[in-house]
Amino acid sequence: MTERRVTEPKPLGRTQSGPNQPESVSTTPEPDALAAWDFRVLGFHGRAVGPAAIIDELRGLFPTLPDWAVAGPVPVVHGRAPTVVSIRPSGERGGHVVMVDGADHWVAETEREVVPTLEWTLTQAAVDDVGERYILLHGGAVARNGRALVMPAASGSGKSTLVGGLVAGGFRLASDEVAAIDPATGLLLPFARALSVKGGSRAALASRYPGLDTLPPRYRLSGAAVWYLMPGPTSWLETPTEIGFVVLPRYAPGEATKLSPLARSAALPRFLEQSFSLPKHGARGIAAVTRLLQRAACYELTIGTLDAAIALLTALADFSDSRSLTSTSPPLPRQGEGDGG
Amino acid sequence: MRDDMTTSSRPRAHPDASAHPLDDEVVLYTPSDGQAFVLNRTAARVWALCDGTRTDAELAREIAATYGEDEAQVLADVRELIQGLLAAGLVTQE
Repeated sequence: MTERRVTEPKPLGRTQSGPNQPESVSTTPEPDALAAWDFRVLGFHGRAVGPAAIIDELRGLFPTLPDWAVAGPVPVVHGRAPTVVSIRPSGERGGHVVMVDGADHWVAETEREVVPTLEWTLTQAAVDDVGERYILLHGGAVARNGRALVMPAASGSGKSTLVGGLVAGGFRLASDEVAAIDPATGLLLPFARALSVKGGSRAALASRYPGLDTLPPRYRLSGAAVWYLMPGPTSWLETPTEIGFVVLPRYAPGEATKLSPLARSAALPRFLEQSFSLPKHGARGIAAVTRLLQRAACYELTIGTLDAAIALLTALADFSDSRSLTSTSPPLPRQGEGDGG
Repeated sequence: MRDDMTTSSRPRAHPDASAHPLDDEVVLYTPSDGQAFVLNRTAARVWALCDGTRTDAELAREIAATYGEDEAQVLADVRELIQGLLAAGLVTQE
């Protein structure tokens, strides 16, 4: 997204909805009417301000969280002004400049890029803030039977598709992109937003999510199409959850799907590589991660097919004494299955 | 000459480095550069003995006695380990 970042942000002053404005403003059917929506997660407070239609679509990408997930277990200083993410029109193709606290950050040149850019900006602001208090990993995180499964992984490893499939199969969703962990307890917390489904993932998940194939695409600044998929209200993490499993996924179409035990010390570097916030926590963060790994079982997952990977992880979560599992299915790559995203 | 210098040095674990057990191994963390290193049990034992009072030959003698290994071979391993620990900023030389 850096290619269209505003290179010299200029302060534009506060937007129309500052901290003294009402926290939520009802939208009206008029497309040009301004609306504000407050987003809170794990002590972060953000406010999105823009045309009502755009803000309405944005708020639909974030679930309503229970109070414990809004506040988070780590106390924060109250009375801080929210981070304000706002937009102003730019160009003649429905584009907008996205601002953070009044300073230009991104240029969405077309209308179809506006909502994804707002969502990304708000999420990034939350990552920056929440990462001060929690260990954040780039990875998927789900739970089943009261134990969480965390999958630290870079883009292209298949984690988003896998998370979507696991949630469709009854796992609870914490996040498809950002796993948030309380450093004091090692418990998984929700960093909840809609699943971001990319092209190949869409085909793989279509049978599990009726209607996915009719959703309109949105476009990120990179040009990649994305479909936002909001799981049902009962699909989310119910409570801070002990991490029982750390799984390192690797999308490998054509290979046999396999779940192999991994030494904790071998999992550690991948865990650290995918951490957004560990440097902020120093030795305390490393201590938290090693404690977490010491309590969890670690695996490498080779994803040949989505069905087989879901079956293996379901068996792992349902039968915790399983230490070595191999798919009973042959590697049967299905056309369009997964995009490694 | 180099051997004499190495033998007479007395490595000390860096005071800012922290150690975190993980199975049979130890994770060492240096806050100055945010790096983490994994040492196996024997290497972690050497690191823990680096208190600035022992030469590498004395370290090797203790490790060889603990594990029943040949002292000359252990000394070579200890010297290689100390060089690695020095490069990583996990020990200092007295």
